[in-house]
Amino acid sequence: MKLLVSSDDSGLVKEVIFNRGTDTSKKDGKQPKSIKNFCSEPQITSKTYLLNFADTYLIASRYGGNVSVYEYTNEEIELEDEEMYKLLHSFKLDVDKSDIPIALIALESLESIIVAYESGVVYIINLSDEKFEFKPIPIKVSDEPISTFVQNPYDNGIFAFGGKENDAKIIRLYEKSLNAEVFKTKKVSEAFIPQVIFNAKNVKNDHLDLRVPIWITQILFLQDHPENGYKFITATRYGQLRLYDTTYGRRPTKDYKVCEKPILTLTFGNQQQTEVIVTDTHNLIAKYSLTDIDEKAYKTISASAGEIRKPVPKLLGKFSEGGNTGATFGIATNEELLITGGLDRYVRVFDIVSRELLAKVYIGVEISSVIIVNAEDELTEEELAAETPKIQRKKRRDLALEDKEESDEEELWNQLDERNKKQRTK
Amino acid sequence: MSQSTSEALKNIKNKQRRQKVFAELKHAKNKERHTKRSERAKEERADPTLREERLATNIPETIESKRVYDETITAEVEGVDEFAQYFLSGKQPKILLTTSENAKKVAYEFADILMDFLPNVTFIKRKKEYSMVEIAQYASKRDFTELIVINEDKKKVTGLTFIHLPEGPTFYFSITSLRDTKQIEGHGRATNHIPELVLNNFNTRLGKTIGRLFQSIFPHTPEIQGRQVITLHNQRDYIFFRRHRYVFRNEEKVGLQELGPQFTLKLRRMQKGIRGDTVWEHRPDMERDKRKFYL
Repeated sequence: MKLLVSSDDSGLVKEVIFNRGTDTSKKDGKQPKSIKNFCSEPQITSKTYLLNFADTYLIASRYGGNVSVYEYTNEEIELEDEEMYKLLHSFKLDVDKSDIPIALIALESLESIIVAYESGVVYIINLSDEKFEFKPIPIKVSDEPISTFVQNPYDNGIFAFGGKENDAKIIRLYEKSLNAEVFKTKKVSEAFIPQVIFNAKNVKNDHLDLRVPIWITQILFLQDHPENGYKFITATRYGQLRLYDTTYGRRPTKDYKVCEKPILTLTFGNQQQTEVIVTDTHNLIAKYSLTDIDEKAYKTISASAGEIRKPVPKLLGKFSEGGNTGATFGIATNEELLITGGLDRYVRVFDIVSRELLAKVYIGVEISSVIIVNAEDELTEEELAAETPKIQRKKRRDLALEDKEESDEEELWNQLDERNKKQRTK
Repeated sequence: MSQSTSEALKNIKNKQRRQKVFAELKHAKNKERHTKRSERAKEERADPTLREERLATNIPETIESKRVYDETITAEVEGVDEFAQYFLSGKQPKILLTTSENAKKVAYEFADILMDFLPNVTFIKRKKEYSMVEIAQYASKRDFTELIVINEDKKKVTGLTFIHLPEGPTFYFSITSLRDTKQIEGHGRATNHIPELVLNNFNTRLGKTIGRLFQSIFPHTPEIQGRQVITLHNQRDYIFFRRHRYVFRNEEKVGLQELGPQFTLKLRRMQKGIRGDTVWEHRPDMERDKRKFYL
């Protein structure tokens, strides 16, 4: 398994190669094959976002408006360490020093990337020019600060954002048919004018008639969506998960409270998009069902409103093996694996279905993002050779066991028969 | 006690008699042990190599020596942390001390104890209208490097919050076993010299961060003529605070006089920034494995 992990303490990118079963917390456990540092950055930065752009570039967005483009090194070509992940260009965006990058999105149809900042400004950077002479286009999408900016992967040009006291909004940033040719024309900035197409409304006041505060931290678009509309999920800093259907109305169709602490990340737990994996600012990494809802799970008794019952999505389990102690920022999934990394400086690999810990590697730096380069274990010839006979031996042992059991049974029957015979003779 | 003696004891039906016999046996055994020891001591005094040999071979197993393997102890510290800028700038520590809201007398008394040894410290009475984050912002604008908040609950000092300024991190320790100088027998009186600092056993990655925190609180140039030492000794995740004055009596012997106070800290939570995302939080189930330590 090969991962790229961003390091907050040193601003580096670490390439980690290990196999399933690796556990650095055990004294004689399996150790990772290699941990190497790349993409050194003279400045100390935190909140690094990593992106694999079409397997050609590795892009890192850092604090203070730094966006670096590195050569994405394909594993088939053997290169010296110095040659790998070579810095091709570094964009310096004109943002405030304290402005926090919140998203890094690849737009493959436009051969561009989007870098979003907390202040509500997003930058479009075109990468089709190999000399990187392109001037990033700033677009103001929101006057209020935003905490998340996401792309709808199922509809080109559709984005969503939200933040503190800034409820979820869906915008069309550019026309669906737009392609990379637009960057060659002079009227580039005219092609990117955000149009708000959906503006979410806050949930109704609670039973004490108090306004429910808003702070969106994550948005996820669902694949199945109605005609002329979208379905999406939001996560909040108050531990809520909300489901929206834009054709149903501006308020969420469902509003669940899943945890007490702020939710940091939200990802789908399966291909059918019926489960979500949530991480919070404490040590929670949990899987919730979106279809299996316990209608009466939450109960409170109010003097004015009487008994209040609220639905809660079923907790399908926590990824607690491996003793996570801190907030989890970096999360990456594929069909079978969940990879997490956060403030406790470990990368953990879980089986997404059984939630078993498959590997745990101490990285030594605080992790803000993780990308999977290769999810398959790389076995050396020796290991391959060692693994095959093991299975055969096991089989043989199984066979032997079965034989034994059979013979035991036969004996039992024989004994019974004998007894019967004896009784008869009596 | 051998199997036969315990059997024999069981056969004595009278309880008082049984207890008496048992006590006699116990006494005899103790006496035997003591005579053996004194004999051994005599032999070892005559030939010190025997003692060295015995100590080298007879190493008792402790919880510490059987500690669960932690790879972060041997791993190198990578990158820079939030304290780096402070240490590089060569700034002197400047501490703002306050209490929790609605603090009672004990909190102020403890503040007084702390002000005795904290360098360059200002005490401010806590006002209800400002949150910790706001206080931290005001303090960092006024060049404070550390904000310390005493936590008092039900007229007992329960905790200490350390916020490194301007960017964090935040640490919360619980406090137990607080003893004032007056309660320590044979205590001395501290002088105003900057003390030396001894940090013991801060080994893991988290432990090193805690060590950095205590380093950042005290000035890095001790006044050695004061002969005062502050020790923060970590053992099994409990951090013991002690203060001593030392004197070199001759070339081999060092005398120690305790100056007080004494208290024990235990890390409960570490957060990034000023009370931001959790890096580490104590959970009761962490104490299930007695051999696992986090600092």
